[in-house]
Order: sequence, then C-alpha cells, then structure tokens
Amino acid sequence: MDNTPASPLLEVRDLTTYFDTRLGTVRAVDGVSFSLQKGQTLGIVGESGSGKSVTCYSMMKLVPMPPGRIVRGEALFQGRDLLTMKDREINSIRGRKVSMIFQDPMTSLNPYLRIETQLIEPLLIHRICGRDEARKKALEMMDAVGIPDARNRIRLHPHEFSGGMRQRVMIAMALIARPDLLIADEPTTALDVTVQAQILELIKAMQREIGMAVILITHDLGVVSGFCDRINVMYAGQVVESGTADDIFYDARHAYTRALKKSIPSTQEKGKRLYTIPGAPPRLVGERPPCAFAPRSDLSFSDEEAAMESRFVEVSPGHWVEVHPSTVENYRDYLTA
Amino acid sequence: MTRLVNPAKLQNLEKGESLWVGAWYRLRQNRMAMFSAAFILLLVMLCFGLPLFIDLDYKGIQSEKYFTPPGQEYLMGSDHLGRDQFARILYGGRISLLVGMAATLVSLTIGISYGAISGYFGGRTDRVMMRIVDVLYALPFTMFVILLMVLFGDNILLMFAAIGAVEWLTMARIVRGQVISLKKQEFIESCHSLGLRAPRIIFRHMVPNILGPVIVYTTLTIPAVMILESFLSFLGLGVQPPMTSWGTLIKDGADRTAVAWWMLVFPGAFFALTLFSFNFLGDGLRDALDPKTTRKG
Amino acid sequence: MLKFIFRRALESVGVLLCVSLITFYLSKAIPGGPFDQEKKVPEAVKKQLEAYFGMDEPDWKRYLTYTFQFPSLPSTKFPNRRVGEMIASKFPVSLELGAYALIVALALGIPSGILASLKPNTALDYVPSSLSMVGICLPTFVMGPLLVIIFAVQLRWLNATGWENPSDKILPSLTLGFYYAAYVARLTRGGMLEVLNQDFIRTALSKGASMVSVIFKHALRGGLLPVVSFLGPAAAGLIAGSFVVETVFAIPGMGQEFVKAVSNRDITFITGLVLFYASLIIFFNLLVDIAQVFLNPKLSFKD
Repeated sequence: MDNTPASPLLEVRDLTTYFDTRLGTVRAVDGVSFSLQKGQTLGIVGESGSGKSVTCYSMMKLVPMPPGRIVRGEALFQGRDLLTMKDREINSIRGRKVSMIFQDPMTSLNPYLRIETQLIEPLLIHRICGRDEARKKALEMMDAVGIPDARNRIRLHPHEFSGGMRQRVMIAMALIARPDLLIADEPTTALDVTVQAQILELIKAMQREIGMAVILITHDLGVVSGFCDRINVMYAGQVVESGTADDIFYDARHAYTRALKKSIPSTQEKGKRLYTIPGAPPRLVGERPPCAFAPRSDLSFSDEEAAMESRFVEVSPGHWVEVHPSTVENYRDYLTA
Repeated sequence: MTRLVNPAKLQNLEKGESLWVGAWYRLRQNRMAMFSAAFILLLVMLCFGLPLFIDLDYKGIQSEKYFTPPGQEYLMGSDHLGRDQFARILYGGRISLLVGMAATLVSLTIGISYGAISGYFGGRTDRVMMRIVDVLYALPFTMFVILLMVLFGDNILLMFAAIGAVEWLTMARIVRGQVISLKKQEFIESCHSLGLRAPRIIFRHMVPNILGPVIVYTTLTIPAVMILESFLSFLGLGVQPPMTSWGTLIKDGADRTAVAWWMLVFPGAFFALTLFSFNFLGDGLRDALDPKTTRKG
Repeated sequence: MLKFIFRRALESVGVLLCVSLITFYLSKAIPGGPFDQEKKVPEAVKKQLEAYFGMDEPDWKRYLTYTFQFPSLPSTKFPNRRVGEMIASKFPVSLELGAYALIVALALGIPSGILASLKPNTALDYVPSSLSMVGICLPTFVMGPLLVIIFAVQLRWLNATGWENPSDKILPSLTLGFYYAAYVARLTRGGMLEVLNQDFIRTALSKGASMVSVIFKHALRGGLLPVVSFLGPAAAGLIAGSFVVETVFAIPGMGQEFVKAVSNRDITFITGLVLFYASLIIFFNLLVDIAQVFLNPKLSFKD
C-alpha cells in the first residue's frame, strides 16, 4: 500500500443519498466514507441494491434529482468538494479528471451517433485538441483497447459491434482524455465469461499505462480478487467491512463478507449445492435497525443483543468492520453492552 | 434465549403488491384522473338519466324566443329557432356518447380478436394478418369515411361501422404485441409445460395481462371516435336533423358566432370537457396500470 | 438503403392500387346514379349523359379512366369544368394554409415539448402539458369559431373571414396548427423523456457534456422520432382539418369546394379529390418512412 502522507486523490466523508419514493424515503447510501490514493485500485463489493453504484453516481452528481437527494457528506477530489460544485465546474471534471464506464455497453452508447463522434466528444468538450487531432487520438485509442480495423470501424454505429467490443469502445472513450480516476460500474456483468477476463485485463493494462486510480464496482467478490488494492464491502447503503484485498480474502470478519466469499462458485466444493445467502437485501425504508444484516445472519444472538448499537471498528491497521452481535462472533471484544 | 431468525420475517422483506391493487392505488392518487372519471359518470347520468325525470323539450320550436341569451328561462340560452339549448346539448350528448362508445365497442371486438389470433398463432398466420393491417393502415381512412358518408347519405349505423372499422387497427396491433411478448415469458411457457390447453391459457392467463393496455386504449379511442363523429357532423355528413349531436350543435353555433356566442360556447365546452376527461382518465390509467411508463422524475 | 426505398415505394404503389379500386367500387355502388336527382330526366338524355361521362363503358375501362385520367374528367355538376382544373385552381390556397399550420405545429410544439421533458412534474412541465391537453381537446371546429368570437367579434382585431390580407391568414393557420402543435408537444415530451432516461444520456453526462449539448446532440434525434412518424398521419389530418377551417373562415380552397361538392353530389369531383388526396397522403407517408430510416441507423441496418 501506498503510504504517502500527501492528501489522497479522493476522500469521501459521510456521503448520504436518499431517494424519495411513494413507499417512503429510501436510504440508498447511508453515511459512506472512504479514501483513495493516486493510482490505487478500490473495489466496492455488494449485492444489487446495496448502494455501491449510487455511491459513485452521487459523487459525480449523476443521481437523478428528484427523486434522489444528497443529504450530507462531502467528496473531496484533489482537495475540492465535488458535491458543492456548480454544474459548470463538475462538467469540467467529468470525462476529463474522472471518467466512468457502465454495466451495459449495449445501452450506454448512443445508438444514433457514430462511434467516432462519441469517442472524440470528451476531447472536444474539454477543448483538449481540435477535431483532426481528436480523430487521430481516437484511432490510437481504438488500437490501444484492441479493436481491430479501427480505421473503418470508427465510422460505424454502436449496434454494429458486439457487446465486448462496445465495452472496449466505452473504455477507449472513458480514457481518451487520460483521467486521474476511472469509475467502472460492473463493467463485466453484462458480458460473456470469456470476455469478462479480457475486459478486466484491459482495464488493468490501461491503468498501468495511464497511471490512473480505479474504482471497480461489482457484486462478484471473485472479480476483485487480485485486481484491487483495497476493498469496501457494502450492505444496505453502508460500508460494513473495509480493508486491503488480503484483509478481505484471508481475514474477513463480517458475517456478510464471509457469506459473500462462501458464495463464490469457484471456491465451493464440487457436487454440493451452491451456497447462497438466505433472504434478500432489506428495503431501506422506515426506521433504521441497529444492524441491517441481522435478519439474514447465520450467527445466533438474543433479542437484547440484536437491539445493541453497532460500531465501525478498526480491528487491525487499515481493516475496519461493522461490529454487531449479528455480524461478528467475538463482538464482545469491541462492543460494551 | 438464542434462536435463529424466524423465516416468516424473511418473507416480509420482499412483499410485492398485486398489479390491480397497485394500479387502483396509483389511480386514486391521480386527482385529475379521478375528477375526470367523476365528470364522465356525471355526464352519462345527465345525458341518459335526466330526460327520464324532467321533461326536456329539444325539438320544440318557439320562433318568437329565438336567440334568447342564457338566463332564467333558458339555462344555456336558445338557438335560432328558439329551442332550449341545454336540452339540445343533453340530447346531442346522448348521440355523441353513444356513437363514441358503440364505435369503440366495434373496434374493440374486431381489434382484440384479430390481434389475439394473430399473436397467438404466430408464424405465417401472423405475418399475413399483420401485413393486411399494414396495408389498411396506409389507406387514408378519413377520406373513405367521408366518401362513404357522401355516397350513402345519413345512416347512423353506417357511421358506427365506418368509424369502428377505422379504429380497430391500432387495437389489433396493441393486442398482438402484448400476446407475443407474453408468449415469450416464462409463466406462459410453464403453462404449456403443465399441459394446459390453449383456451385456458388464453383466457385464464393471457387476457388478464392484456386487459391493462386494452382498457387504456379504449378510454383513448372513445374521444378519438367522438372527434371523428363531430367532424363529420360539422361538415354536414354525420347526424342529420332533427337528431342532433355535439358536432351539429357546434356547427350551428359556428355559423352564428356574431349573434349568439352561447350557441358555440356551451356545446363546445361540454365537448371539450368530455374529451379532456377521457384523455386524462386514459393517461391516468396508463400511468396506473403500467408503472414502467409512469412519468419519471 | 436503396433496396429499402425501392421496396417501400413498391408498397406505396400497391396501396394506391387498393385505394383506387375501393374508390371506384364505392362510387359505382351509389344507390341511384348521379343523374337521377330532383327532377326526372328523360331516358334518352340520361343515356346521352352517361355516354358523355363514359358510364356506358365496361368496368375495366371505366376504372382505368377514373383512376388515371380523373383530372380530365368533367365535373358531374358543372360539365364544362374538368376535375383537374378545379383542383389546380383551389389546391394552392389549401396547400398554403396547410404549410402555415405545419409551421405553427412544429414551431410551437417541439420547443414546448422539450421544455416540458426537462423538468417533469414541475411547473415547467405542467404549463405546456396542460396547454397541449387543451389543444388536443379543442378540435379545430371548436377552436376556430372560438377564436373568431374572441378576436374578430369581440376585440375586432382581425377579420372573421377571408384570405386576402396577410392578417387574414393568422387565425386559420393558428386554428389548424394549434391542434397539431399540441400533439407534437406531447409526442416530443414523451420521446424526450424516454430518451433522457436512457443509459447513454448518463454516459454523455459522465463525459462532461453540458445539459444543452446533451439535449441537442444526444437526445433530440431519438426524441423527435415519434414526431417524425406522426407527420404522416398529421398530413392526412391537416387535409381533413383544412376542410373544417376553410368552412369556418370562408377560405376559397379545396375544402370549401369539397363541402359544396358534397351537397351537390358532384361524384366525379369527389372521387377525383379523394384519389388526389389519398395519393398525396401515401406519398407523404413514403417520405416520412424514408426520413425515419435516415434518422435511425438501427433501422437501416436491418434492411
């Protein structure tokens, strides 16, 4: 781990995003804090609905408002708070300093515009270079992300590409302005298994080349193994465990993290039923329970214990866990009744 | 004291709501739609019910009382022949609503059966049937309806048939689309694998799912038909005197804008409000029945 | 692409054929010929008349003349005038009215639809949306006379009828155009909302594009597709609507001529007119379909 005392590239503090719906206010992101150093890779892992994507969209102010609303918190990027920025300021960050790629490459590219038009757009928006040079850079970028016959294919429309190729286009587009941070929101979920590995490898290679930091959002703990420096495990809008990749893989404390690890198919015994976590993620409406994971925990605990307040505790240097009787067996080491 | 979590608790976490209950709830939230429904109900009661209780004279010519402005004697004034405008509006409303609903019913019947057959059997049948609809779609039907009315004169039955024949095409397309998308869904496949017969699948499992779009489109077809009827009547091709519809009333008013504004404003207002209500109700129903297309925000 | 245009044009020819056949058989099936009206015509005269209008010919020949030579047919009411001349003398006025109305519809409809889609369910949405609802629920034959009452009878700003001064053209164009403006606004709003909710809009925003650029560069093209496909039916509707508007404002166009022909039972003129307008509508639909393929690259890929 990078131990430079310099200020981190990104520092998120107590980020809280609610959605006002007919059924009540949904606490989609509920006090999330983390930081990211330059060039580092952070994985954010959790089931769908755990708030991992909304966390990143909130930072970039891409949450539709209304119904969404950022209640409090700050997201300091290179020392400036993204959340209080005016539209013009945040526009100058998006696509230039911070880029994003999304889950579904089928729908994330504009079907009405040529690949070229979309590829060079970041360069033109941020006035990095003129149209001719932008075209040249776009071709180089397409080569770099491994799209064959770039010169001809750059004139095509998105529907003429396969899913994997489209995700490569997305990556080329996100990286063409050489950002400092890439947010990849489940970049491989919608792709074939064989293509998944290629795309991850590509992101890694581009990271080495450009030197950017990466936030990788995924529901698949298997994907982040070997890819990330640090991992945040999210549940019900909160970070429940945070640590280095080693912390999470070899020293997971939280019951949810362990359950996630158990449910990676490749780690399971052959011929046995696949392990799944019982139940579904809670609805994040109404009164906040002491611990959102309690109903699904496989630990045993009493009603009094269930009513205890949980705490976010640093169990070893840099390794934080949400401690509660339903999440950690030896909770008594950290909590006092 | 220790115990594992109660499984019932888990089920409570994800409790869905039935489509119809949810739709009714959403519709009730939509104040405009509820007002519209109330207005339509009131209008139907006025047009069809009121003449049963009060003697409303809509034909009686009292030539000395022509062009009486709205007031004590005539609630909404009298026309160029001294006839009670209010009574005429109610009687005209009867015809307009009747034409609207009857022609919609015609188009509904044709459209649903055609669309359902085409969608359910699929393949060649579907291709041929939909090709026919495509060709019919391309025909300029208003022209044909006009031609029909010109050539065969005033015949209200013919009008139903003509209008109904125009409007069924869209319904057929909607129903077919729904049936096809339903056919692909797992729960219909599971019906097949359970060995259920076609009629049971169609009526028990498909119709309830098609009903939503059909209801929505029906509420939107009624005003469309009413406009077409009034349009024809306005051109003198539709309802003929002494019968009257809102179209003919508006035509009478439009010819006398300089002397009797009430002859245009009142029937026009009734007509517009009715169209308004049907459209709002239709929009409300669509939002209520199809949460996906709800106005997003 | 060319293949598509060719196929689509062929289809139009087929539809035209259907139209002409239906029109022909409808006009043949009239109860009582065009000449047995008020007074009884001697048999010999009737024969002569029928010969003059070519009604003694076999069906196929009559069909061919009715369909392909209808402009040179004489009007049944005014035998010294030909259908083609009547159309040529009146159509330009109707065309002008229709063009103004279309301009009104697009110029009012598209901007207000876009505006409404940007902040759904706020005042910015409700005002144009309610206005367009009003427009849809006030058909031309209510709207027109209403405008006359307000601007001609009460305020006396404009003439109630006529088509001479440029100011005469305001009320009719607004009347005819407003209804379609309302429709266009609704379609634009719906189309834009649909597009604005799609993932690629988020992508564009994540690239740093401003809202203005997102709307005009990324959203408008897809958002206006429903409007483009509405232009076909709108053309048909404008023609029918012009009948009403011309009657209300006493404009000397085709519509008025048509209404007169209806009461005169001028069969050759009416069938000729129906054929003429039908071909116009079909041709316009063809243009709209081709335009759609140009706008939507996905469609051209399929063919």
